[in-house]
Amino acid sequence: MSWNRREFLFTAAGAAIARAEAAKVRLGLVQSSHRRLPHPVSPEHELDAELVRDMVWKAIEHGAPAAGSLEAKIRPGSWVVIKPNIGGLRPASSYLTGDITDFRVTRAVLEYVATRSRARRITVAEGGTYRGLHDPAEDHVVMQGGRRVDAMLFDWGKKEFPGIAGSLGDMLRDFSARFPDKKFDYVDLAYDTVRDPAGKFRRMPVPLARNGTGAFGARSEYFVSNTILNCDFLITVPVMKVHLECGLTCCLKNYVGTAPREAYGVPGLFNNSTLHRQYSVGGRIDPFIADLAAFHPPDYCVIDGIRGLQSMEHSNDRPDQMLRSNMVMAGEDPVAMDALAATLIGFQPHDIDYLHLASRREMGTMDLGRVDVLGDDPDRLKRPWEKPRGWNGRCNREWLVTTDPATPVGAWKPHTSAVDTLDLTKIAGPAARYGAAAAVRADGHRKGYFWVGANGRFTAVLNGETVLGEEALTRHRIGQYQAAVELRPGENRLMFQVEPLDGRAQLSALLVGPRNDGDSMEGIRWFV
Amino acid sequence: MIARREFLSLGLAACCAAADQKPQDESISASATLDRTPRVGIVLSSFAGSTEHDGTPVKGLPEPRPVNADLTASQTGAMLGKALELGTLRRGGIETVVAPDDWVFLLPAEKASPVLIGALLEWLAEHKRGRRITVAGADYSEALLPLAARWKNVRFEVLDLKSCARLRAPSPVRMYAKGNADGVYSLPRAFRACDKLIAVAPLRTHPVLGVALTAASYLGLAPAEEIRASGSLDDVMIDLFAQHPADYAIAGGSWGYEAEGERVHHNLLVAGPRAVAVDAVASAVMGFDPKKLAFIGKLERRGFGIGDIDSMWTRGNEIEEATRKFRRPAAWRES
Repeated sequence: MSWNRREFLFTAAGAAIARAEAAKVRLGLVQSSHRRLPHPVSPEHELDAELVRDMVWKAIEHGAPAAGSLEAKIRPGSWVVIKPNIGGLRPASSYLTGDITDFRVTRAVLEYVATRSRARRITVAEGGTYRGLHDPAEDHVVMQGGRRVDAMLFDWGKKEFPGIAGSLGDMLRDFSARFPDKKFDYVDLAYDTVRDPAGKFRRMPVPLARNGTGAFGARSEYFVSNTILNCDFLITVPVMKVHLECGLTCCLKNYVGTAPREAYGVPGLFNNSTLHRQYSVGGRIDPFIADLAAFHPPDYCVIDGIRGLQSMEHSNDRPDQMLRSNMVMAGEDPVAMDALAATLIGFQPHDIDYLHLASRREMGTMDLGRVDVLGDDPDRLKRPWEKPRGWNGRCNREWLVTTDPATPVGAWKPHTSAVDTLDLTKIAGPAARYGAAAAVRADGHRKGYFWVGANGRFTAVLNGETVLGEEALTRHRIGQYQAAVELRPGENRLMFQVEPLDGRAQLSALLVGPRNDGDSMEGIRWFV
Repeated sequence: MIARREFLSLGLAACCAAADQKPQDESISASATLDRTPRVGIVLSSFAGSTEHDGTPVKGLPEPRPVNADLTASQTGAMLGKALELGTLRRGGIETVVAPDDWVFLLPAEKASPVLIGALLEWLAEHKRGRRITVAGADYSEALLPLAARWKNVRFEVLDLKSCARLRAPSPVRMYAKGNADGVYSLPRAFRACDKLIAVAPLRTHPVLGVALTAASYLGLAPAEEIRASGSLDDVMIDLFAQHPADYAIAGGSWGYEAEGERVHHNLLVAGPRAVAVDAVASAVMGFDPKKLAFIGKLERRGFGIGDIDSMWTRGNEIEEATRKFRRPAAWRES
């Protein structure tokens, strides 16, 4: 068979397109009004268990992994762990509907895996801020109807998750009866710490990624749970909501619930306070989120986007905090899933720091240009949720630095900061004056706000014009000093001069969009 | 009839506070650090000591004076010190709220006492709270001069709200005033940049709000024309408050203002880290029912704290002891 040139080119181009398409990550997004559901209903509908199951299953179908289907990816005889977010139970003052994963979503995932896959054991695993039944401590003990309960026994009643009633234990018993050839159980991850032969909690090093990337946290060894480490297949099933510290809590932030509270808690506080205190870097918790996920990255993800909390991750005592979206998302790439969730609730993926870290570990892509969303159109479903008070996106990390600002900028040293704050005294040594420069490429004329945090007497110059100047005596805070700015299309130059005060010279710089809500300006890219 | 504090000591109020939407037969034993009940300090110049509802004695002022007596600066300072000592959260009071390296913005309401502001500045400097302290209002320059000379490690400054540098920008948090949904206000740069904010207000009635206390001090921050154009006064006030909720609030002084602005000599301070609680208690002291003040309910609903005086702990004087009924302004209508 002979091909002419045009036929050859046509075929080659088609193959190239097909390869590119094949390389794209596939995610499923289904709202309750999705036209291919058996019974589409309004996005305001309170839903029932059957409608939620249809949404979850349709999302899983749309968000099929590279193996072809979720069931194809789960090997026969596997131990599958489903990790919802049940961080708190209703009696907690911080609880509000939308705080935890909707039990109907968890149930639908459980049913999908039980029905379609040949898994041998299916475990629901979570560790929240409530004591286990055997724990002698007296704080965070949950009582219901005069008896002590935990996440397994807590009865949610009929109203919390319309269409189902009872406890997680009831749900698991029901599945055990329906699927006698499989084992269903619950593991309280708060008490599941890996121990050494002497029975002491054992810290484990963060596994190296294939590209050699190691730990990002302030410490490189973590307490982790046996279940997460040893299961064959892990499905993260978070609720999508805003988080005070990292912006978004979803597939990857869900791993904080895998950190055993028996190891990280302090007396009287059954939470992960030690994890936050010992592992945060530059005021961010993102490094330990990416690290915890590295011990067993999700094999699959299903996001409950039915009801979530804006403004912060737990109740802020405001009646309009909970938002109903009636959405479910599914896919095998946790980074892409979280990037999609971020855009749906009004964040820019670029501003979610742990997505950068997880990408560096090759856990997935945060570039939504490399993602195919099947099902509903995400652009139609985007809605800006209220951001946390004090929220800031990811500050510039690429700098040119000098201790002699009189020298040409070309001679200044490049420095990539791992955190939002550029600590000039630390990276350049003691000096009477520092210079720091960065550049921003804008894809058009842009208006917004320039947020600067500083220690020291500083001036900030944008394209030759002084836009801010302060004697910053007090502690460094991102976005403390703000000015309205305009960027021109193409390259924009930023120059700082900083004189230390009290021996400190620090800087952070963020260009924020016209809403002044801490999100990075759209259509810009920092470089040096 | 039992007094409010006795009622609290019986634990009934705690039950009331917990009895929200959640089922009655569910509970969680929280740790002490999760106790968010506001403690509001109430101190008359006559305060000679009291007993906490758990039986702990509270020491009185060194020189108690009648509530309508003229006070020296040191007597005002002692009253303030006591109010700050008693107005706390479980984790601590103003010394916990304000860190040594904070930029503190002091927001006095109209007619706030310069003597009280001076005493507060002195307290902050003495306790090494705040590295930079900005007082909004040109009237306070005299109070600052001696302090600036004495406390060289603290930068004191007065901000003239008529001429200060401002930034007009949208609010990053949700706004409710109908005429300014994005919360675009021209606010002083120092207000936007400060780390901590302390609101100070005299007891004062108001023809629209009923009372103008610490939350109302925020109305002094935005230009009058922006306030008028933005919506109802209480919505605008709360929107401004939401941009940086007070980290500590002090209501009272030696003089209050009733009816159409007539002066009332009543030496009283109400203090605490929750402005809503402070304003609710102060309004109760003035003879108003906080539940009938629309702005208190709105502040509560927007998540700024508890305004129900039965759900907070008052320390020092009883509300009943401190009460001095203020005459209502003629134009005010109860909600």
